[in-house]
Amino acid sequence: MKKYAAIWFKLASNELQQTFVNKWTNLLFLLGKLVRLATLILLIVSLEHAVPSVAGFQTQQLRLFVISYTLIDTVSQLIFRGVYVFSNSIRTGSFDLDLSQPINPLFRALFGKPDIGDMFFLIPLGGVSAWLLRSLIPELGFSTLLLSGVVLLDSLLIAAAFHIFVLCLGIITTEVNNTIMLYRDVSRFGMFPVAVYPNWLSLLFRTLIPLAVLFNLPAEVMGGLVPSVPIGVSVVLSVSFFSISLLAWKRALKEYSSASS
Amino acid sequence: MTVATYLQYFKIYLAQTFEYRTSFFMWRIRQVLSLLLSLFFWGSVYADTATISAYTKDDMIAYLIITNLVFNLVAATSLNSLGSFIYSGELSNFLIKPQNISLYLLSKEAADKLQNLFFSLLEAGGIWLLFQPQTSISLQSLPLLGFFIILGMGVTFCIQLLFGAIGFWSPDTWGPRFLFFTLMGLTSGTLFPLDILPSWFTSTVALTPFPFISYFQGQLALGRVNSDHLWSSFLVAAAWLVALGITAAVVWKKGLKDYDSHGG
Repeated sequence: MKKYAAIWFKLASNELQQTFVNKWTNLLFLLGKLVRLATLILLIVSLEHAVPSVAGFQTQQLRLFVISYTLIDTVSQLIFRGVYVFSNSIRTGSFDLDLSQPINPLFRALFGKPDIGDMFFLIPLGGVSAWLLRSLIPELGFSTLLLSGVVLLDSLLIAAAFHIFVLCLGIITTEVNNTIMLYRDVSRFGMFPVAVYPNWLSLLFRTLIPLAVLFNLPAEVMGGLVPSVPIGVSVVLSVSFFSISLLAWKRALKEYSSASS
Repeated sequence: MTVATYLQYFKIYLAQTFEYRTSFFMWRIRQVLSLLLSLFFWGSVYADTATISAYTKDDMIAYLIITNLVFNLVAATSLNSLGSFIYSGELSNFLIKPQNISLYLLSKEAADKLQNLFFSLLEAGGIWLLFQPQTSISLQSLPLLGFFIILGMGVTFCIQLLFGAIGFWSPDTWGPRFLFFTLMGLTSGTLFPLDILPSWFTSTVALTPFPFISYFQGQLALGRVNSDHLWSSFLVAAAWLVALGITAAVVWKKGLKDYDSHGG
């Protein structure tokens, strides 16, 4: 564990240096993300004036879901950014180099390229979130804090599982370029409470594609709302999802054949 | 070089699009998903209200389907990697041949638009049947709609040329592209009609080329544009097309003068 923490810090420090080398590009990326956040907030605030409620929630409570989605999505990108370039290392054969090193290749593929730019984005995002949610989050007691910790852990486990599935697909079918972006598009449905979708889709997002656990549950627990998935079920779902993804990874590694010359 | 050469480029690029079929299929699914997300969300918003800024639920569904269709046509491009194509020196392969680089890029772009037109029409038609918005679209507006779609394509083509031209001087083309296309995605009206936002926002965006990517065409199809608005919008869009076209020509001329490539 200590060895992996040291390796991660080394990789992160390399990324940080790279971020400063390309500082103008990264600044523009940061600006783009801020613009996207600002427009989203503008839309939600405009809606608050137009409609009193959406899918059984007060329109103002949508802020909780949008912020929860943005925070979790940003943290996942910060941690799992390596997944976005993984298919390239399969195609070029450079994944062989990871396999031959005394480090778990899954660790390298998942955590090997943290997105430091997102770390900088978290600073204004944190401030904006605190300001927007100041009246929506009740005073957090010990039990709420504990539950929040549990659901955030569930959320991260499911995010990790989804990213591992994408890695597996990258190994099995090198043809696929768009898998991670497809995941991003599907995950965007988690920006709003799953109750806004038709029943069949809402059920799908509570079970087989658990976006409700990934994005909605932290908002619901912190905002004192009725959870869309019972907490116990969310723990079972996240642990099962993560375990299945690890099995899939082992299976995919067996399928791997080097592309290098 | 004859027209047949560029027609051949057109055919080759069209065939290349279908080379990685799984990837292509996933790309199409992504287009549909983003539209479905908007449709489901707005469908739910209308559960407690009949209109939002003079849009009924049917208006909103029709608007979203049309603007997404138009956006897929106007904004989709084959020129995303133009910057690295120039910076890597690959451009040299074209400069030493007796051919026009602009016509080559246009052939590529036309092939990309054609396949987008075909699949986007299929997808939009399917979604229209699924949601069945009770909104009439005036057939008389179709020629105007086509005209503004072509105008929008011209504007985005010039913008792509300008972003690609960064490759003459720098490898870092993705930062400015990301910022610009994020702005474009948010202000082209594919997620929501711009006029439901505060009027200061709408009137500011109206001065940029962004509404002509898809928002304005959506308004036109729904018959929400009067003749004064039509003329003023035409003038703004045409001014942008001319300004961007001239800028792109000047920048490319300068870029080609400064261009050098290394290696063999």
